[in-house]
Amino acid sequence: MPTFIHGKGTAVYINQFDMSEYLTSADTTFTQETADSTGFGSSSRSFIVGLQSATMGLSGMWSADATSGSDVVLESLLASTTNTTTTVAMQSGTIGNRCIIMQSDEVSYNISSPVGDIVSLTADFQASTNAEANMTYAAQSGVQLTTGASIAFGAVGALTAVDNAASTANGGMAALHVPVNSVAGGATTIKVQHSADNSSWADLITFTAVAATTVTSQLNTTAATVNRYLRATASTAGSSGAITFMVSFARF
Amino acid sequence: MPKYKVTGGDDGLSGVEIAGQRYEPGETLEAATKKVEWMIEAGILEAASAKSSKSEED
Repeated sequence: MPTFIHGKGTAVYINQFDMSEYLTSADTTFTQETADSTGFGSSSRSFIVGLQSATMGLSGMWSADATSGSDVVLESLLASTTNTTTTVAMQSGTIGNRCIIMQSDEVSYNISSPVGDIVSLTADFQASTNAEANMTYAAQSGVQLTTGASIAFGAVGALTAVDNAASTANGGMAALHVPVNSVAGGATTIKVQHSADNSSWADLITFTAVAATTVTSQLNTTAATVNRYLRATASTAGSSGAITFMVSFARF
Repeated sequence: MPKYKVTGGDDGLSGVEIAGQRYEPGETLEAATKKVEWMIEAGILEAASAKSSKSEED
């Protein structure tokens, strides 16, 4: 019997912001271009595959909240020359659940103010590899490696491993979102590690250290073989506070 | 048990954790070959007596 999940547990992270409370829908479309290769004498058309692409449409409620409100975040992205890192986490809060990671450019932002309803918004994003090394795809399905919950500075460490049942040979990308960080007195280093046996671990991706009390996001790639097991791990030189971070990984 | 050196992998920065113990690139560790076989194959560990690829180039 198939297993279905409800959309209510979805979380959406855009760069260093957790936008979940503002949004009500996240729609991702993966596309595969085809080129017509039909020759004379054929009875039906044939095609060869070309480039892949993806788009994401977000919709939700408009808010003028300062700094992290839906309007200030989505409006600023429209003019940004820096790619946006987005993670859509299905059934968020459980390590191993699926997600979609996307590097993209925002291509439209719409605000609707109806007389009889809440002021709402929609925003559209176009996935883009931006010709980055090792980024085979700019949008890819992956797994959540953290719960997205707050962790006290003294409790950071290795999190639960995710078993992919087999290794993969084509690299992958990892997204890090840090929407809340009160860890003071030192930086926090967050990594993605992999293992062939769920016992001995090697660093796969090391994100740039997150400075004290700083919110941020990063998207890193690797071309290496990704072993069967993955986990996120963190260490900190901080001496007080807590950090909320979301790490996810997509294999290519 | 044989000794191995942490190479750091492709980027030279990757450390390892074995039996809960953390080892950074350049450090040496002792481990049963079977337990770290996949790391040796991946080039993350090399026999401690082996020349580094840099010194081989030199």
